[in-house]
Amino acid sequence: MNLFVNSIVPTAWLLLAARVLTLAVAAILLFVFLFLLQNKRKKKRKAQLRVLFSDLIAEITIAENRPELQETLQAFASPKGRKQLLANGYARKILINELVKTKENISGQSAGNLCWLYEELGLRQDCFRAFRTGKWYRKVRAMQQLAAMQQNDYLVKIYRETNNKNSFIRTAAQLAVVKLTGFKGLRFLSIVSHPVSQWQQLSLLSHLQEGEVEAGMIRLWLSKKNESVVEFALRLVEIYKCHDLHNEVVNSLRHDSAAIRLQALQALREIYTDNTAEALLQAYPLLNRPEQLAIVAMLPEVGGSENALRFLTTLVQGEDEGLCFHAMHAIQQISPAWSSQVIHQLKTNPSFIPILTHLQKEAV
Amino acid sequence: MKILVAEDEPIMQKTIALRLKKDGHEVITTDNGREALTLIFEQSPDLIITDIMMPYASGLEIVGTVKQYEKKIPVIVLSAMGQENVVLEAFNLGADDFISKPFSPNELSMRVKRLTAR
Repeated sequence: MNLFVNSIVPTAWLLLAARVLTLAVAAILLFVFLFLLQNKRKKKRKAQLRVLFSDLIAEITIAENRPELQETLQAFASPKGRKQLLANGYARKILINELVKTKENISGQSAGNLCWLYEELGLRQDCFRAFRTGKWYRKVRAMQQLAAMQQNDYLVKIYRETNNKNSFIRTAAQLAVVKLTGFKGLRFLSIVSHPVSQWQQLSLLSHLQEGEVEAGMIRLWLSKKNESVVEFALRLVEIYKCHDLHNEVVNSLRHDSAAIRLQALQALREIYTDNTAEALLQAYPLLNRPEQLAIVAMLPEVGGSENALRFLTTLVQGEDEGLCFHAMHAIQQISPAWSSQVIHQLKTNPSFIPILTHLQKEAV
Repeated sequence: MKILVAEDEPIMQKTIALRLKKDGHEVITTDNGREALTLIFEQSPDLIITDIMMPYASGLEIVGTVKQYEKKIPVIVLSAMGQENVVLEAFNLGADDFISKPFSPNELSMRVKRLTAR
């Protein structure tokens, strides 16, 4: 065998190959070792910095006035090497992260103290530099940090990103402007051409406060071409009960988008007037079955007129059993007397008997 | 007055402890629920401030255990926003007060004063 191998590959070559392979393995192992060592050092350094900065942040948080704030910062910076540390890019990044994280849990004067430290150390310039880079993840992080630290000076620049084609940048910018200026920040809805996702809508709502809603702006958004903007505007009407926008919401029942029509029905449930039931009856023939069912279920809530009762009676006499059941249910809620009359008229109708039995069981 | 602060977030723990020390209290700290339970029985604090979400044992477990054995120790629960159900559960278990994040350390200090004055 050996003779056979030797005849094809010379022994010297085999030895050389073995040496090269050994060296390659050793180099890989060395690289892995150095990489792990560096990572460990980095982690250790990060943990040390976090402990160091947590002391500073805790003391700054509980400071009661400006001289105390300055005194605390001076005391922190006075030991040898601390000034260089505060100028170090990596350390500043850690400090920003810790400040932002703490700010999320702290309010009142203490939150103001954290913003003071952020500005005093020029950390907002670091965030702004990151904001100006081309990397989307740095930009997103910078916007989140600037908004968390209430840096209104950068509002205009962040606002420009609210219609960015990159969805991560766009959504972060939209949330940032709302965090910074509340309802006024929503003015991006007037210009945004990309869809505002359901999740984004809920996130935006979580940062709004009651009392700052402007019906005039919502009216404008209800007429926008961007369907998600109209849907969000209807959601605002529903949550903040904008009664002034009743007619505009009724008009939305004729929108091409099913999601908008359904949201309009939900909004009407919160802002109904004496005219709502009539408007619903007029829109009824134009809507799809789930929306029709929603209208039937809404009628007792929004005020069932005699007209509505007559309409519901025609549904009870119709062929759609599902609608028939819901209509009968609605009649019972609006007027038990009318309900008795309908039952009296239809109790001999074989197709009505199962519905009647179901209603009686439900009543029991 | 001896106060136990159970909070797993280091900066929040330090901030609360510093604030309470400034008010003249003796403060014991821990970052996990299991150690908090041990400290409660070993150190007998006069008041407990506990976060809801903590490793090993939650704030609710702490409230439940404390109120089972030491009804007199007042407990303040720290909760995140939107945890109304958890706060109600804490009250059912016997918590004396709650404060939701974000909160002001000054407000916490006032609540501690109010509870200790009882």
